[in-house]
Amino acid sequence: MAGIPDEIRQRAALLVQSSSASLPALRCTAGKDSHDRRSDGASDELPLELGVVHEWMWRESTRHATWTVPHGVMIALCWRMLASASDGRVAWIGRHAWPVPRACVRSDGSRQLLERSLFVDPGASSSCDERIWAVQQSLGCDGICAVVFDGSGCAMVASRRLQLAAARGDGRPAVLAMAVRPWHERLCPSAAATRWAVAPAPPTTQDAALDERGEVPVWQAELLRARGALAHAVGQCTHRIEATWSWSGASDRSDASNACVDMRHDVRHDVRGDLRGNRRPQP
Amino acid sequence: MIAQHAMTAPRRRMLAVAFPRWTAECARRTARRQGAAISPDAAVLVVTESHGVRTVHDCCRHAASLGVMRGMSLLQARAICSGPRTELPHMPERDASMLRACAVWCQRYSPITMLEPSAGIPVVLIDITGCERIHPSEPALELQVRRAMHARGFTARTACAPNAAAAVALATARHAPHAARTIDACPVRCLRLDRKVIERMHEVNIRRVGDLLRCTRASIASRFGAPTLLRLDQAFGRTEQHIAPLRPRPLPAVERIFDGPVAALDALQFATQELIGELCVQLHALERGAREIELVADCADAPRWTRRLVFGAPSANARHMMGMLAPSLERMKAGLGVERLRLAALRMGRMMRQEALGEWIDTLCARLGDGAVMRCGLVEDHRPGRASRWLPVLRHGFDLRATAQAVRVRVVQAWRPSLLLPRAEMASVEVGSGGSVRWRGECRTVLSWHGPERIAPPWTAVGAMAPAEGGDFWRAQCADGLWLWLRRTSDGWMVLGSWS
Repeated sequence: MAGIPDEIRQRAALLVQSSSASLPALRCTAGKDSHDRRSDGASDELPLELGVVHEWMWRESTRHATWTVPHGVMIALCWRMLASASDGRVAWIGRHAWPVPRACVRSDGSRQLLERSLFVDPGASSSCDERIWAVQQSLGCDGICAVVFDGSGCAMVASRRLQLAAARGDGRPAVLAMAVRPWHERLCPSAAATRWAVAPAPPTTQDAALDERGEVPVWQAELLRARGALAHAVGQCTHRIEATWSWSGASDRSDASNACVDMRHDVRHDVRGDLRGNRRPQP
Repeated sequence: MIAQHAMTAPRRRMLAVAFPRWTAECARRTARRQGAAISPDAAVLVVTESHGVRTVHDCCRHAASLGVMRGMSLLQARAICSGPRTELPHMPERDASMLRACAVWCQRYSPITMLEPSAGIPVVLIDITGCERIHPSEPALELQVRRAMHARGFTARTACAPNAAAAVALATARHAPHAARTIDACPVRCLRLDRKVIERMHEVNIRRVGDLLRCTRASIASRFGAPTLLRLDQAFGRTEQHIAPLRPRPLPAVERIFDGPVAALDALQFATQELIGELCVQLHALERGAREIELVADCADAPRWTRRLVFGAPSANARHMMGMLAPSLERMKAGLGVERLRLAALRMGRMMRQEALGEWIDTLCARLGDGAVMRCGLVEDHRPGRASRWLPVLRHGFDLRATAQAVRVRVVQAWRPSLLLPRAEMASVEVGSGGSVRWRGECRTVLSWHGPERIAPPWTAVGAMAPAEGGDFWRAQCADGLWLWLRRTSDGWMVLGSWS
């Protein structure tokens, strides 16, 4: 695919510009095709707005007691946040939201994320009051730059409280607040600024970089909802964040023993120009 | 009995650690801690000013190799050091404080350490008598001490001897770690004599201790004075040298004795607040924060009441301390009243920039429990479930980088999932090209299989491994993009995790 037709590109750009005032959470780059994004290089900017709560869900077809958390995207975003915040910690609140520690280590040996992470266990009580209280405390602490928390069962009132806590204000450093929630809560009301659905990206045969993409887990996050955004901004565009788990440094990808696991931190986002029909993305 | 005691008494051994570049290295260390960027190849000059004249008080080894000497004027030193150069002010109080801290730190080698003030250069003496079973050998201990000091940015010379004077003489005389180990070969200045006496000795060509030993005791006393004989006797163990072991500074503590039993909560809270304020003043003076405090109340007609608080980070914040103690005061059973309140800092630590983070930890732990906030330490283990351990922050501190052990842990270079299921889940699998995995009621086509990777228990833990931790592990790449982490057992396939 050589590229998106100019007409669609222009319309996508216009759409992003028109919705940028009401959609501050995303700094989207329009009209980038998935094939040439890799060669394009990723920007080091965090693709999310700070000071608001973003909700993340792993797309699941059936409901399970142990719902899945999109750890890959969370880790990639936290790495990106640490790169911009020279001094600050990452708080992981709720045992369900805790990542596998090994996944927080880069192949080059960098353990900055693990060293700057603190894990909070509010207890295994069924009520989420303690968890929400812990999140509220964390969002109000200046020494914390990112909070990833288990937001399951979070009611509208509680989510509004968290949204207010995340705003901080008064010139204090902004915080990246991310709630992970089960997929079956996708229709629950929430005061979060955005809601994202994460799913593994299937390998596509049309992809020019099949050799690379076909051998590593790739996740795509799709914007389901953006609070305050124009209806058509969400309805006609698909905002995507893509994170890739790669084994950098491995000469032969099939040789697992020599490979070292690393997260690709080039979280990418684009606006897919599905502008030919006014079709809403299916959750 | 006396003879028997003499036979069983341990042979006395002293270890002297001399720091020939202490002032310059202290200045460099302090400047770096304060955020100054000092390049490793920069010459460090510690400058002092007297009567408007700026002179070099001390310099680093690099500057000394260029020709800079102590006492040289700063202009001359600048001319010699044409390359990168850093000039730092001389702060004798800081140097003394750091030397004392160093001597306290050295108590990990032996409980008795002391400072030797008259050696010319800073010296820490360690009494290692009776520590033979702890330390493998004296050369190994010396090497360990030198390496530890080098890691902290200090050049150290060490020497072991049967008495303090000899150890100091050998350590201060040595220019290389493996120079001559006899006192005869040491320069006479190592006997810690007055400068004028040394000059008089040089006039008659007495430069080493061996030269001095050729003289009779009577002539030494008449020519160079009785102190020279005393130093000589001390160096050869003929006279005991009085040594004053370094005692730890008393921990900050404050107390309030009431005229009579006080039962009113407001009064107790007010008194506690005052005590906290006084304690924080002491902590600020020491440039330290409290890691653990204890409030003790002597009650009339009731047992002594004690409340101990552990902080996540060193704190000298009175408001925070009061906030942590206030709920406990309300629950105090004081009987007829409190007669005395005593507040002490049981543990202290260097103040950190992230005071807010410490308060956050304390707030969470006060409500959720001491183990509510944790950090993660890596463990060298191939088993994914055992490759890490959770450490409560209140007990282990929250700075993972502070522990040298954490740096040494190597990460297993193998593919591991980003999500481990709490328990293994059964799956039905068809292996081969076009195979499939049926898991959680969903059938997924598998594009490729990777494995097996056989994970076995370490030889030290045979029998301790849970059945789900060992075996042959596979990675399955599904057509929908999901990667699964599976284990093959005799009962079938189990899904243990995924890349999510």
